[in-house]
Amino acid sequence: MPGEKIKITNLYKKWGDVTAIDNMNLTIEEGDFITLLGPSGCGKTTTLRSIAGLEDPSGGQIYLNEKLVFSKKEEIVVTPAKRNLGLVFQSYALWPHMTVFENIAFGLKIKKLPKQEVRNKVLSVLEDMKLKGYEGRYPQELSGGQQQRIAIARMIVNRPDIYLMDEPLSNLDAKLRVDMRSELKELHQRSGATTVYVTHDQVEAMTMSTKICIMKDGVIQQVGSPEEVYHRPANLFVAEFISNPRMNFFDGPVLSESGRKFVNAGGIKLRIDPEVIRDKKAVKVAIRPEDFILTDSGIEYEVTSYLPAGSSNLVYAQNGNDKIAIMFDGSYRVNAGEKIKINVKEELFNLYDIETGNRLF
Amino acid sequence: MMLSGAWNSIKLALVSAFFTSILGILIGYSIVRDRGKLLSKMNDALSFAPYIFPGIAFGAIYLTMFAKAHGPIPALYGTFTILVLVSVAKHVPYSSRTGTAAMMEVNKELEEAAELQGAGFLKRFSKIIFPLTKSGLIAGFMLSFITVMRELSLIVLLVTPKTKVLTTLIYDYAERGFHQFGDAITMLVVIITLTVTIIIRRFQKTDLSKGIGG
Repeated sequence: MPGEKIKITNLYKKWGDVTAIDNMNLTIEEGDFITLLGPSGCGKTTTLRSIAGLEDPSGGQIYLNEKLVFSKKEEIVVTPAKRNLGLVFQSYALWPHMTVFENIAFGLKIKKLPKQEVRNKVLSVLEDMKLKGYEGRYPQELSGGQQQRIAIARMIVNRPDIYLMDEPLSNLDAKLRVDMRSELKELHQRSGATTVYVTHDQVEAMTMSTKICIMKDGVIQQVGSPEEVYHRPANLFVAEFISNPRMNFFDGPVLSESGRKFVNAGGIKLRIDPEVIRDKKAVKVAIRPEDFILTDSGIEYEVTSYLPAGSSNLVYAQNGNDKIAIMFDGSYRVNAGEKIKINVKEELFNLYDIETGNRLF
Repeated sequence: MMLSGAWNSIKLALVSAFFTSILGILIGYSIVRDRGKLLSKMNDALSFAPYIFPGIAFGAIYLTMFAKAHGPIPALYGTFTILVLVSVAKHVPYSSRTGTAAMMEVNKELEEAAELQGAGFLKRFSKIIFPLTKSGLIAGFMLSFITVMRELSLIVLLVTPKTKVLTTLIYDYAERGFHQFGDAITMLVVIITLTVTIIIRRFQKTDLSKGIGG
């Protein structure tokens, strides 16, 4: 049974009138790779910095390894150095006046380890990070990807049991970013260190994490596995944020037919549980582009554009005022102007309350 | 008399420039790190206050303030210390500007990274901030050194025969009509200032070629 590695209770942070974190409660288990995901200004970086001890929250508690490290009420603030964690900054924050070796050895020297041991540790971590031979260089002489690796090496050489990463891949070019994703994932699997990762990139979050915590305006919207947040978004914000290509939304009127309840989503009649709908007149229906099927009994739509992308194809289609995006696999061919008949895969839709935006089903 | 005056001038300029530039970096640090906060704005305004006083008035203030002992502070009139004090206070506005500018260049995360690695404030200052703001420090040092070297109005009320500097010597000679003597010492001031500037420049350049700079 993994223990509670990081526990945040009733945390909030205010900057003047602006609330960066609003009464946050979050438990992160040992070995988790959790991603704090959200648009800029949602409080994810502030949360990360509060865990690190670089930011003083305005209230609440933070526990690491079930030990209280921050409490506003009890006036407990454990310094960052004593929290046994490492942080990779978005800017990498490598010291430009030190060589790669000196950058990585800095923390070990502070701990006053014997010279030979420092040397062995630094060289071994450099080898792990495929940076052997670069120890005498200065950071600014190296490429972005190499600087990124030095920043990681500098963190792991101290053997922290929590890794914190603040948008570490956002300064890399697209190809390198994809490579680094799998490298970071491997690093997590190898070390088993609990990792808190901040990003605004949903693909990064989906591919790397064991858990995703989606935030907006300082409030947690949903915490769950990538599958959960993808297939069962807790509210309209999450549904919209975790969608590429865009999710289809319909304002569906509720129909009653011989005791059964249906909702009309762009002409498609979806049968729904009366318990869920109660006496609502309309609900919002969200359907992912890949959750449509072609069927002769389906509703007719006219294809407005066809965008092949190799492994999958995106089709935009229209029926009266309803416009939808559908994703088919790469072998599917269709031309603009053609008529297609579609339906929704069994139960693969989500219903939301139009007023609150929360998921009904 | 001229030799002791020259020695006093150099000593005063070096010691004052040393303290002024370090104080400038520290003030710059506090201003930049707390930017936006009231304390930072007050610090900024306060560090600039000496700039608005005429030098002679500043000297007069120090003369009366330190004429007799106050608690643990002895009467400083006639000492070298009071000249250093007044020079440092008067030139902090310049060095705090260069210090602030240098500190702006240092990303806060560079210091935080060191903090996470267990470096205390002194370690962070000596290993990270100080090396990265060295050019600002040197600029503050040079600015203070040169201005103190040719300062007269600020210290004229505070010097005694024992603590005479080159500029007050020039003033004495000029007053007594020995203009040639005065001119000779003026040349000396210029030569010393130039020499020190060149030495520091040289030292700064070799640093840059080693890739340290900043």
